[in-house]
Amino acid sequence: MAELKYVGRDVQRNDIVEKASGRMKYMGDRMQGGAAHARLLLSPIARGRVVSFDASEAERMPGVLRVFSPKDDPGKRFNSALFLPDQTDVQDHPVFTDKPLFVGDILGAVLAKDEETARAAAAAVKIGFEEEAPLLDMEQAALPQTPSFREGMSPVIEGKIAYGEEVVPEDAIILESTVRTQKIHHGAMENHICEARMEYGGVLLVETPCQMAFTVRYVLADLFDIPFNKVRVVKTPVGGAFGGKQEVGIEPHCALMALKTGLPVRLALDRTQTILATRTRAASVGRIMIAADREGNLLRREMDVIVDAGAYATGTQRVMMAMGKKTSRLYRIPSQSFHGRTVFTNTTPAGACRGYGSPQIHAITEIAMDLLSRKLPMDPAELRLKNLVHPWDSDPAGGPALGNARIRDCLVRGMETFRWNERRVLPSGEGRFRRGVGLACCTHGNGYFGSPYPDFMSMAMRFCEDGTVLVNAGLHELGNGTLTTIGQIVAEVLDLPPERVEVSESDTSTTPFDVGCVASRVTYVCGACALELAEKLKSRFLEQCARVLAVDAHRLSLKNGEMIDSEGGVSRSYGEMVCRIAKELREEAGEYLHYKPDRNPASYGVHFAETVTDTFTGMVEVTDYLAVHDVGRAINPRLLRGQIYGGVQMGVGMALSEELVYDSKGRPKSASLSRYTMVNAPSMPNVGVLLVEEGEPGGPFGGKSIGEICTVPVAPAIANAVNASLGTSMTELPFSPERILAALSARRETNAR
Amino acid sequence: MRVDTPSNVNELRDVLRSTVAAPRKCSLLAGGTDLLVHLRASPGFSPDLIDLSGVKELKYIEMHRDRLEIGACVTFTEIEEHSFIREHFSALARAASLVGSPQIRNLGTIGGNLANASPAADSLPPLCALEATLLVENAEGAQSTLSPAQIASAPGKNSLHADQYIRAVLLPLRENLLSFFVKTGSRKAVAISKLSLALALSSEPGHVRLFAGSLGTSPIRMEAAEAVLDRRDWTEANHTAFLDALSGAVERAIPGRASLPFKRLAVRGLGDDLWTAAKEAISRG
Repeated sequence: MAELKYVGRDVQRNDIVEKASGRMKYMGDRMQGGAAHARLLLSPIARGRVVSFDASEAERMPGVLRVFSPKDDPGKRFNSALFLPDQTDVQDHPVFTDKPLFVGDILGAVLAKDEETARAAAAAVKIGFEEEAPLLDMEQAALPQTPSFREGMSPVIEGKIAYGEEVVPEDAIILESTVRTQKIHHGAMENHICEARMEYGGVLLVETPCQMAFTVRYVLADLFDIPFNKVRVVKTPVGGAFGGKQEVGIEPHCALMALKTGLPVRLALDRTQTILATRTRAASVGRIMIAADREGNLLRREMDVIVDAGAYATGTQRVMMAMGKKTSRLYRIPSQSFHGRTVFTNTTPAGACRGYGSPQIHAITEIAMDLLSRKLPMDPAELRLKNLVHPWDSDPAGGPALGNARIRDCLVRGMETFRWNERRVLPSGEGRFRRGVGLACCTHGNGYFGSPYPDFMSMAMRFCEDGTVLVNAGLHELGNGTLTTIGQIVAEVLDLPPERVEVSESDTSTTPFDVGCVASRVTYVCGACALELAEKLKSRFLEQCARVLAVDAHRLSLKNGEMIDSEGGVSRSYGEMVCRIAKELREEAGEYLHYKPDRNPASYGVHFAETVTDTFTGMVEVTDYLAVHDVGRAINPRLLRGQIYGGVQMGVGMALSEELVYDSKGRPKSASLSRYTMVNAPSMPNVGVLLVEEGEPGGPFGGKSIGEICTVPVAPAIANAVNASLGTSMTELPFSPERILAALSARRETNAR
Repeated sequence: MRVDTPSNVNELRDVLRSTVAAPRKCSLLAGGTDLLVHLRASPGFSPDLIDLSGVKELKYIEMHRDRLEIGACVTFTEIEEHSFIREHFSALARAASLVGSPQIRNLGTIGGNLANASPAADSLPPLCALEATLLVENAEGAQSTLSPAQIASAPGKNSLHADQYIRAVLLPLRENLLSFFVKTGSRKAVAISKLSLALALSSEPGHVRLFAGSLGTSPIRMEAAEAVLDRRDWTEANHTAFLDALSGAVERAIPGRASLPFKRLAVRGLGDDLWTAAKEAISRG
């Protein structure tokens, strides 16, 4: 391939000046005024019934416009993940409920002239409840004898994926374990916010920092029975999403208030409300059995995983299936079964969260792999090398082929860079502080192809009269550099500086359809669409130039913003040619493309962690870290590394400190960032990054996904390092100081016996 | 909501007198890193505020012959960076440096931390260990003193009267005083203390003061552990006895509490840190 000018380079991201200087206008930065401000009324109880609702005091307060109660609920139920009518996810979600199912369930709202009044009035609404005992334990919820609160709906949603013969040789080494992963808050800097208003022509305009504008449109149009073309959803700047803004969140509530009052309505949540009333990473309990022969060849694996949806169905059953689908794409295993059960508890609903089940299932399988390696015994890296998939392997469970799967290169190169062999055998120490190393492998997807959800998109692209390029696409920049990388791809093909390419974001009334920034699909699917369309536009433009100049198109080429006629010795700026094409041909220099991917290869990663554990206080410090990723090709290496640093930081939180816990009445104990411990800079190790770039067919310039997978193996890599250093077999995340000390005490007692 | 912004102590007393004459819900604002969060979270609770940030007599650090005085509105950043405090009252400087984030330390004040009466207040254990006295003044200018252990009457509730405010913290100067502060939370920095220890000792026999924070309303004195330290004999056996004494004290302080299994062990980590630091400092002379 010829030398690339923009792809593979650290092109400065398009929004860096606004973001770094604080001038970026997120929705929360809009001045008050021009809209009524809403404040949600959230349930303080985890389960029960509203028996009285007294808003008289609030309604008397000056500036209060209207109080919404459960009586204002439209009666229809929705599912916040659903985006086509064939999708059978349970529609169980009310807008305003009188039967709260978790602390934070939305009962109503106060609409007032400003935010302060709305807050004060919300505090003055008196709601009486009849409480019922909440169901909080997911394992209890999975038992058939446990009474369900699901009122006629199934209390358990099952899913199975299996292949191969259910035979385990008698002399096999068997490892059985149960791994628990916790409920997690996304922790995006920007809390949830939304604005809705009626535009002329009866169009409902909803502005929201979301990941799937067309899903928001689907849910709103369906829920409120509005023609789809009368709902316009516009994606606004996103201050972090991480899956938390993938499902429809507060848009129905905001839209309902705008529809009922005719007023422009702005609904903004604070941090506590965002923690209580939006979505979480689903907690899971995975029972796992791995059978291997004495040489460490895997023979069979069985997984029985319970996934906690929380109070409503949301997309959790999809998360559960996504967990199962990862299990046949990392190791060559002759036979396997995955049995998933989505259950319901009176806790904050789960949903999408960076990795979509992948961090959970890999925590289960990769922690178990290390426990198996100990049992064999065998170097955990060697055990993995023996079993990892090879490039071009198929998926034995029937998923799309794995593509140029370079996990083995990742592991081999990572071991060398991390000095794994040397460091693994170092003693962990005798004193208070114990050092250890651990690793974990992982896989993730590149879109929806091969899943029940259709993957396709369209895009329009045209040259403007000054030679700049406009890409009209329903993209969603979440802070991960989507617009910059798409711009680089287009700039590469059309040979002009990336800053002369403007890439749009989703507006359901003006941009072509795209399902959204989900499923790690944007680089691989949207990037490939942009590439193919840019090539299509380039041919059309050259052909148009040829007609204008009355020469053969083969003589013409594009170079650095100029059309060159090599034989005629002529060069003209793109802009000049666009104008001539307009005047002389009466044509636009533009193209449109319908794109659908025909494959969905796997991305891979291996993470290596070194930890030092204080056996007296139970504090774990991650002292060194290496992330190795098979990315096909880095479109923008600096942005890609940025994704990895952030992914590692989220993963360290999952490994060590983040957890939404509830008291016996179902009240979250950590509904603020001072109590919900995310990892901050002083607790971060240096993160080394090593990229394996062997090219992925179907991806733009060989590129594939990184945004989700980089957080997937972090928790098990750290868990494995801690277990190795302490000689423990901890399997319950996070490894908080309390759990570390409890495990050490248990081990001491066992040893004393 | 009414906000008064007195610029000196006389104006402050006037405001306080008016609140006594016509009683109203009133809170002193001394930094606001806790109060403002609380106000925002509870719209129903909207007391009048008296902002102390402009009261110049509350913002000073002053050396006297026998004591150091720290005004109530001195921030944690100022304490952390004060060279005399770092040298002579290092437990307090260290505790100040571990409060919240830099932004919190720039706003948060020692007086505010005391009056907020959190069991996890980081300034309290060092002040107890350093034998500090709190100078309290009322609307009429009458002064009284309190020990730091008396300031909290219940978690989140202080023992001051409606017309009283903390004027200063008085720290007695002692010869050869060494002091240390250690804490553990849920992460390395910007963490609420789950447990903390402050130790002060001088070369004078019998002068060992060790207090634990986050175990109750006020810091708890660890007398048995003090006695072990007072042997001033850094043997392995004493080390173990010291840690055992700490665990025992925690067990007596919070029997039956869900956090006991963790804290009775974690206190050994903090104790080990103190032991090592004290041993090194003393051997250095």
